Parts: sequence; structure tokens; C-alpha cells
Amino acid sequence: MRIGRAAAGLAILTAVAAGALLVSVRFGAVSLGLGEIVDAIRGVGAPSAVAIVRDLRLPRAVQAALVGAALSASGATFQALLRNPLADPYILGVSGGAAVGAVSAVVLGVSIAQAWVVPLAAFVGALVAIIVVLRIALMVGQTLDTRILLLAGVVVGAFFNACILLVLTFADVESFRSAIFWMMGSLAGASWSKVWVLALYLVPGTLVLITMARSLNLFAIGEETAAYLGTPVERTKYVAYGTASLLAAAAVALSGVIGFVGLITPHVVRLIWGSDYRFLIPAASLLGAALLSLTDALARTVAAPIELPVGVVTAFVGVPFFVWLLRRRGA
Amino acid sequence: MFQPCRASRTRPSTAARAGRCLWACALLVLLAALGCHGGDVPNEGRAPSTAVSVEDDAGHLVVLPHPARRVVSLVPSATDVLVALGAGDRIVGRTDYDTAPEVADRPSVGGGLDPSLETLVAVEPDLVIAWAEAGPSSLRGQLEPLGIGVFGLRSQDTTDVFGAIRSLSHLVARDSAGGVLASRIRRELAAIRASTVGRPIPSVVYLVEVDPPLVAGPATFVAQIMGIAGARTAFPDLPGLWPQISLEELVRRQPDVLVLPELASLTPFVARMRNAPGWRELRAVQNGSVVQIPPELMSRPGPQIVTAARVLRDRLHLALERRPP
Amino acid sequence: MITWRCDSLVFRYPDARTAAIDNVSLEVGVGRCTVLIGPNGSGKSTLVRLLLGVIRPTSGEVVFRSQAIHRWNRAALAREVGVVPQREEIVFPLTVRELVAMGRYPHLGAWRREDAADRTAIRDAMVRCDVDDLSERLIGTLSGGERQLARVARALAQEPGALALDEPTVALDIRHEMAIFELLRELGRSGVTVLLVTHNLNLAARYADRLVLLSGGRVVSEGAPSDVLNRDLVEEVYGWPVDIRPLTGRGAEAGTPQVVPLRRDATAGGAERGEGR
Repeated sequence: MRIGRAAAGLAILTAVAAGALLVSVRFGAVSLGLGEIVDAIRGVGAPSAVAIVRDLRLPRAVQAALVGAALSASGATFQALLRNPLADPYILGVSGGAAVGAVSAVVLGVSIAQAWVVPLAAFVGALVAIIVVLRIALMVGQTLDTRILLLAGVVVGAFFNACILLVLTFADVESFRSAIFWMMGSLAGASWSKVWVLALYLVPGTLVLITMARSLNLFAIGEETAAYLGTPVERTKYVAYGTASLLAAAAVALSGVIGFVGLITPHVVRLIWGSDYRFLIPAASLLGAALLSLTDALARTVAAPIELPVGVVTAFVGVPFFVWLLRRRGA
Repeated sequence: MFQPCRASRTRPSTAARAGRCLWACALLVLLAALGCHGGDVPNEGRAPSTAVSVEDDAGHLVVLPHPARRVVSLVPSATDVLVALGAGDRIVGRTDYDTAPEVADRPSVGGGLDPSLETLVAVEPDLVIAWAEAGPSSLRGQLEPLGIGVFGLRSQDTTDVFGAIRSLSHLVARDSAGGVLASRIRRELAAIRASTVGRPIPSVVYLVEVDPPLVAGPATFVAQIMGIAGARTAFPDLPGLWPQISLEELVRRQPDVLVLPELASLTPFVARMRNAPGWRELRAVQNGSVVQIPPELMSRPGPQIVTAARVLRDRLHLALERRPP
Repeated sequence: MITWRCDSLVFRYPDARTAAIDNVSLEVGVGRCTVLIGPNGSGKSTLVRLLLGVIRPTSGEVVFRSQAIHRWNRAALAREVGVVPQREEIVFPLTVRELVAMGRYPHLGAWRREDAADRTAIRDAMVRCDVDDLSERLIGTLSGGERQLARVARALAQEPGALALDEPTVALDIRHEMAIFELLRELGRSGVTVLLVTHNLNLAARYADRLVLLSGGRVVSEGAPSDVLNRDLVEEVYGWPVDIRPLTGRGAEAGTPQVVPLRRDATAGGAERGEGR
């Protein structure tokens, strides 16, 4: 796509993401006036308002944006690598692995004292899932066969989910809740330290993917074509799968499995602007950031003080929009 | 699957769950600096003599500069305990699941496991009573830096009732009222147990759901109340808290009485149980020995335990008397 | 000058009992049109993929421009060889211009933006393949012939010295098929080495400088079309009775052998001859 059009698109999406972040900070379960929020950000005013805005609302809005961005970049990458429009960030079993890791940590009782052990275990579980899936795919063929990889991901994911269900059958209350959290996803535990950790994965991860954007364009057509047009296929595949999975794993470990975002944002960008990954990766990330921070704001406020599962809101907002876009495109 | 949660009157989502502070991930990428938040306990170096410190049921030391004056209770049984201690006026926030009329006018912060943190902070509590079973709580990581104490309360069985009374009475500086309450409950439970001595001990199954049948395992609060009420569970050998069993097994064991929660969703089934395949093979169904109990009584290890045991004893007694000789 | 050379090339798929490519030695000269023919499963595509270095031979070696093919950097190789693979499945929306522009990737690397020379190469490739009018159309909305031309244009945008095409005219109508063959001839004349796999024996005979007939992973005949396309050999390799007739017509093409497969009931003699062996 033309440079001017790409720049305009990114500018629009940046503005949308920034607007979504502002809305997300503006509205919450507790209604605060604009002045109160501005004061709170500056650190003056009622201590509870300062605490709400600076320690709860801001990190949550930012974390939602980062998770949305990570899932979108990851989903877009998997869709190209697997040449499958249905691919999402969890396609290599990351979600099941994370849930198994988290629940194992709880069952083994390591978690009572240290809050950070469980997300770490979820992260490790996600990595184990990815490695197992890649190993299976390599055992079957000499090279990473896309179809086998897809199949291995689905099978390993199903296996891990079965493990979770087994654990749940005999579960105590604690592991039950742990598993449910990882399966439903939530941003309620957001904090600045998580934001920094996520940023540490997201920024280099996204840059790596943008660097590989032209190769991803080729992968979306076919691996052999990619080789004929100058891509070292196997090496690129490992780096791309690894990076996309790491992004998904970091997002899952911090916020649980939040569905839909990583699947849908790449398609929205494609429908409006086309499929060039040099644009698609940053654009989908921005759109994912906007979508998740906006829907999380809705999840917090619609039924306040009850919080709706953010995945539910994401689907409720995203599906009608996507259907509208598909129809408009078709017309 | 979610039934056990319904029984315990908490919602299944565990948003408030679990430490997700990924300092460990930070470690992975050598961001050691993040570790500095570790163990943030409001720690007044020169704590005045009124300071209270209690180890909570998750093994975490909770230190308050003064006895709690503004409490948000995320655990309904803790709300009941605080009310029974005469500290109901210190409750500034409750959950949607609290039934105590004394706190009905306080603002709700949503669910006990996934409260709206903003709403919670807005009522400016100095202490939050949270579920210890929710695991390593990110709640603590989020609230303690704001100077709000978080007490993780275990609320699963009868011993937790007394643990809760002891801890909570100390946190609100009502230790003596706590002692009085605890011994009154002990006395009344002993009386209920004594009243059943000499009677035959019926085998009872508590069905939290019927299709498929989900029953209370032997480790649940329900099974313990059965014991106090002079009954025994028909499934003393089951693993897990709320296992799913087959109807065949239920028929094989032929419990003397079926107990179900008094829920609108179950009452119609109880009415047509006599004709339901499988269920009609149960002698308890044929004899009309089917009892319903308000679910909040059977799921809340608090001061209401006395009422729960008494109601269960009386209804079991009635059901058994109705039996044809 | 030699573009591709291989000696005693053997390739066996894992767990396969017989070799897919069995002791093939071949030379493909600069600026010539070499056409690989042979029945389904005779190893044509496998041989092309070996020559392009995307699969590794079990034994033997492929040399491209006097360097072993697997020692070529893929991007450098892609600046030398344009490829139109047999099948591509384009599942995401992509315009013709975007597809053809991918031919410049080997020249652009990860970051460099298209400059004037790149844009010229893309436009020229589209014009040569007659798809410049379609440049903003989505690939999914094109006819089969237009899509193939767009893919050939992508290979031309690479500005390669050699071109490999695996059955580029399958399921195309006469106009599109002829357009591609004419294009290949022009390219050959301008010094581009063309390596083509096709099932169209008659066009192969008319456009090839050299035919290579494969059967069972071996080269059973190679040389000028009039040498390779003799009736006994074609009938044996393809297992079907044929007539071979010289092309009657104008100019240089006259006399080129043309293969006419026979109906089973057409000539009793032909059928008997076919089955009699």
C-alpha cells in the first residue's frame, strides 16, 4: 500500500487507541468528574480518588491496551504462518498450557505466600505447550509442516483442557478458582509492575514481527513461494512462531485467556486497509489496544459494581462491528 | 461445574484471583528493579500501642495501625460474624451476596471474588476481609500499597467459624465479645448434638444439583453440619468437594433422606421426583423423605451455623417420622 | 554457458521404497527454453524443486551458476531465479499490484522502500503480462488465467536471469495459455534461461529448444522435440496409443511433431498396438 495511505491509517489508529485509553481512564465503576480525574493524575485531591485513578484505573487501562496489542500482533502472525484466517494467539495450545501451569502451581501449594508464582507458572506452562507442539510437529516431518503444526496445536490444547477438567473434578476451591480465572480472563489484577513486564515483551516482540513483515506477507501465500522470493523459511518460521507465542504467553500469564481480540483485529485491518504485514502488524496492535481498553472500560462500568467478563464484552462489541464491515465490503 | 460456587454464594469468575504480578517474568528479562514492591505491609515504625496484627488464614501477617474502623467484607460469613460481634456499623461495603439485613443499606462492591476495586477504594476502608481460598491474592498486592489491610479469611468448615470469630474480633478490638460469641455457639451446637443422641443415625445425601447429580463430599461444611444434626453422609468415601455421581450409585446406596437447596430451579423437580426414572427407585423418594433447606444456611460457615444445624435436625426428624413403618 | 547442472542426482522421500528422482544428470543452458515433460508422478516437480534448492538431494549435487545450490543465500538466489510454483493458495485479500510487488522483495530486504527502479520493474512486469489494468483488483476476484498471468508477472518483477515454471498453464484457455508460452519465448530470446514443466506436449514441442522426458524418476530421453517425441517412446512412457504427426503450417514451425492421443475405439490396430506390448 502507498506510504501516504499507510501513514494516514496509522495516524487514525493511534488517535483511536489514544481516545480509547482516555475513555477508559475517564469512566469507571466510581464516577469521578473530569476535574477530579485530572487532579488525581497530578496527585492532588481526595486520597481515595488519587488511589482509584493512579493505582487502579490507569494501570488497568494501560494493561488492557498492551494485552490487546500483544494478542493482535500474535494473532496476525499466526494467521500468516498457518495461512488460516481462523488462527488465533492460542492456536499452539498456549491457553491450555497456561491454565495447567497455573493450576499445578496452586495444587502444589506453592502459591499461598507468593502472588507472582502463579503467573510465572502460567507463563512456563504456556512455553511448555509451545515446545511440545513444535516437538510433535518436528517428530512427524523433517520440517515444520503447517498442517501438522495446526493439528498438534489443537490436539495439545485439547489435552491440556482435559487435564484442567480432570483437576476440576477433584479440585479444592482454590485450584477451581485458579483454573476458571485462566479460562475466562480478566484485567482486574492490573498493576504497574505487570504493565512494565508486558511492555518488555510487547515492544521488542512487535519490532521483531515488523522486521519480518515482508516474510510474513510471503508466508501468507505459501512457504515454497516464500523460499523462492528470498526468505530463509525454516529460520524465519521458528523466530515468528516463537515471538508470536511469547507475546500470547505473556498476555495470558498476566490476564488469562481473553478471546476474540487476537482473531478479529487483523481481519478488520485487512478489510479496511489490506493485507501488507508491514502495516498490518502495527495497525492490528493499535486496534487491539483500542478495542480491549474500550471493552474493559465497558466491562467495568456497564453493571458496576459487578464486573462482566471482558471476553464477553469484546465479543458483544466486536462481532456486530465485524459483521457490518463484512457486509459493507461485500456490497 | 459451577454449582459448588452457586452453593457457596460466590460467583465463579475469579477476577480477584491470584497474584498475577509477574515479578517473576520480570526476573526472566532481568528486570530486578520490579521486585522492590515485595512485601509491602503498612508498617508504621513506631506503631502506637493500639496497633493490631493478626496472621491471616493464608499465612500472611496483617498489621493495622489501629483496630479496623471501616471494613469491607467480601466474605458473607465474615459479614455475619461482624454483625454478631456488634461491629456491623463498621462495615462500609458488602457484596451482592450478603443477606444480613443490618448491612443491606451499605454499598455493594460487586462479587466477593471479583469486586470492583474502584468501588471498594471509594468507600475508603482500612480493612478488607477477602477469601483466603481465592489463593495468592492480587487484591493484596493492589490494596496494601494504598494503605488498606487485606485479611484472607478461610471460610470452608465448622472450625473456620471459630477461627473467623477469633481473628475478626481481634481486628475490630472486640476480643471479649468474640469469646462470648464463640462459647455461645459451642454451647448451642453441643445442645443440638445432644438432642439427637439415642436416635437412629440416618444416612443423608445433599444434592446441590440433580441433572447430573452433584453431591456434597465428606469434607464440606454441609457434611459437618449433618454430623452435628445427628445424621451421616451417604457418601463418606468421595474425593473432592462437590463430586458428580451417577444416579445408579445413588440408587445403590439408598440414602434415608435426600436434602436439596431451596432453589426455584430445583423445587419443580422435587415435586415430580416420584415419577422420574431412576429417582423413583429411591426409597427416600417413595417415602417422601425429601427435604429442602435455604442454601445460604448450608454454605456459610458463620454464626448461622447454629440455625443451620437446628433447621437440618428438625427437618430430617420430620422427614423420618413421615416414613411409613 | 550453463545455468543449472546436476550429476547423478538421487532423491528419495522419507520412508519411500523407490527413489522419486533416480540418477538424473542434466544441464540447462543459458538463454534456452528447456521443457520437462512426463506422466503424472514421473518426478518433474520434484526435479524442479531439487534444482531450486528447496529440497535436498539424497545424493548428488545441484550446481546453479557454478555454485552448489544449497550454498546460495536465498535472497541472492531469488534475485537470479524467478519461480512460478505449481500451486499457491491466497486466502487473504491481496491486490494484483501487491502480489507483483512481492517480486521485488529479494531486492528490497526487510526495510528498504520501493524506489523508482522497483516501481518501474513492477509496472513493466504487469504490462508484459497484460495485467496492468487489473493492478488494484483483488486476486480472489480474478479468473484463473488472469491469476496465472499475475503470478508470472511477479516472477518477472524479480528481473531474474532464469525462470522456472511448474505447469503454469493448467486449466487455462487458449488465449491465456498462448500468451504465457509467447512470453516465455520472448524471454528466452532476451537471454533468460527458462525451465518449464508442462503436460501440453504439443506446445512443448513448438516452444522448447530442448525437451527432457522423465519417467519413473529417470530421464528416458532428451534432446530436440523431433527426437524425443517418437511414437513408441511416448506410448510406452504414457501407456496410451498415440499418433505423432508433423505440424502442417507456415514457417519455422512446420514439421514439428504433434502428439494426438487416440480413442480406444478409433483404430483397432492402434489399440491393439498399444495393448499388444
